[in-house]
Amino acid sequence: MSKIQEISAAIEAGKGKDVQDLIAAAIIEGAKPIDVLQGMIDAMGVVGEKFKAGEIYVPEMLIAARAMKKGLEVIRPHLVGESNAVIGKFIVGTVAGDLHDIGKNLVAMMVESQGFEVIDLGVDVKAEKFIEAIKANPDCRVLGISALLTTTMPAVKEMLNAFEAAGVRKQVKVMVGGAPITQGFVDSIGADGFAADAATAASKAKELNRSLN
Amino acid sequence: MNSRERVLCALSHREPDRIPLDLGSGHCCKFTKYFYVKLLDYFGIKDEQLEICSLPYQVVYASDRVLDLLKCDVRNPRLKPIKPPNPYSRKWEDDESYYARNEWGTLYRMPKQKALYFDLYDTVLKDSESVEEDRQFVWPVPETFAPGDRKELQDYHDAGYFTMITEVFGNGFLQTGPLVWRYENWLAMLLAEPERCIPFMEKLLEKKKEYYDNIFAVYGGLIDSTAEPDDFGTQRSTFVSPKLIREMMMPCHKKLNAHIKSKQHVKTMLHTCGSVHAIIPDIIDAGYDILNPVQIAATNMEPERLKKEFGGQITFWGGGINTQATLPNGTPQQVRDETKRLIDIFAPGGGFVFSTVHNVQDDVPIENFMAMWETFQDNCKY
Repeated sequence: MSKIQEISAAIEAGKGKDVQDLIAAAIIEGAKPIDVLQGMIDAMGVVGEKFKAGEIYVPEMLIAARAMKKGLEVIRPHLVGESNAVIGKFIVGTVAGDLHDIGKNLVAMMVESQGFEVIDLGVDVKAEKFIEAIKANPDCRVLGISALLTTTMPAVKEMLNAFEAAGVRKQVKVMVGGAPITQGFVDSIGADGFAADAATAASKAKELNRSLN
Repeated sequence: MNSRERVLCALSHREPDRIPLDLGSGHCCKFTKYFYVKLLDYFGIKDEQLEICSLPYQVVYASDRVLDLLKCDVRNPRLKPIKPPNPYSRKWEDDESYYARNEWGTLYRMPKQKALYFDLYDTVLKDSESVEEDRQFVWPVPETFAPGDRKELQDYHDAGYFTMITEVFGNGFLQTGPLVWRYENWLAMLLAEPERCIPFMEKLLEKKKEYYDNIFAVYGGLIDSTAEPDDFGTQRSTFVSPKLIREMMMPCHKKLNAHIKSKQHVKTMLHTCGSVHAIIPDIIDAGYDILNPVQIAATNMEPERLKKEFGGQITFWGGGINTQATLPNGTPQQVRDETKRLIDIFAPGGGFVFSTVHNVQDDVPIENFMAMWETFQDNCKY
């Protein structure tokens, strides 16, 4: 098994410390940092596919994403100057009035593990805060809004109207998720994407990011 | 047939005179406060004080007057706990939010504007990384109850209502850990550090037994059912693998059921949201008589399938209308059609208590709620 394969296996198994040690060893042995990163991203892609297929559950995905995060801490300093190291930016937060962040946090981790820089605005995010983040990151093309409650779903529509009014709606593709959210709802409010779970959200973010490139 | 006889008949998988109805009382069958205000307006009731039953969910105790108008069969009494001293419990507010820290140290926050619930905001052991650090946690002491406080339950009992205790110690064996460590930490610990989780669940089991003992010491003989929560499902699957649930949580549920039933002649409910089809056999094996809320819109929770596979072994208490879509956002006609369809599926042979899938939330139009209720009344007779 190559070092990169070992790193991938450790990520899938959620062994954060092993991932860090293996990355350090791989770099010393002369592996290209960008290849190591790609191996890590591919490993998380496998984790996402297994989750979508119902082969693994939230904890397995969670520990893999945490191991990925640990690995990123080690590999990032070696990637300075690599233009391919980050595929895009992703702004995420729960809609104003909604404080439920388990799903949003999982989405942030999965999207980050697919090579995005994630700008996590947290919970109960007002439109102004999203707009400020969009303006501060003109290179960001994808934004995720989470709503867990039927009572906060209308606020997602209001959010899109606020983006429109602020003239930033066309800059970003907006994806929406959360337990009561459906493709039908997303279509009805004119958002750009829906994902039923965190792994699908990561694939969707990549797809939307590409569509604006 | 009185209400208790009706519910007990349904729970023994026989058909009573009509389908039993629980709106506003059972665990997660309640009304949120602003919806309840709409209901009071509808009935022209102006002199009722709202009484919050659960702070995080902002649900209320519905009055007997309202429950009688709705012809409900179930009552949840207001137990009077004697709160033991606790280092965490506290309430306060700032300009933007209300805060409440409970006896588990879990901090809930409700923004003052545009918010309807207190949501989990912070926990005591979120930064803990070891068994040693976990020891900082101060376990809550199960409440005792005012001796002799039996009048309300006795009145319900004498009037022939079916009574359900909806107070619980903490949350379930899967869902109490997140109140102490936060969700992400607890879910990761279950896989990576079970040695930190198992002793916690075992201690929780012992405390839950003590809590029920305290309840039965005061209210014994007047309680028809208890309800334990443990949300195992997400919209599309279980949170954690069925294998993990089977190995780590279900043994605790089974021991708790055995303890409760050895002390009182009661029926037990498990409230577990989401897609839980894969573990319904385990829930039955753990000794539960009742499944709630029967989240029919989740994956693999199709009502026909549930009734066919498990209808003879566990009672479905809920499943009467989809509260994530139809009840808040459908038309009254869509509500009528869905209510009728679900009654037709779940009612035959008993084993069904009609209720909404979870509490009725503030965004539910009163027209939709009454369309559901009227459809139930038109179709509830066996």
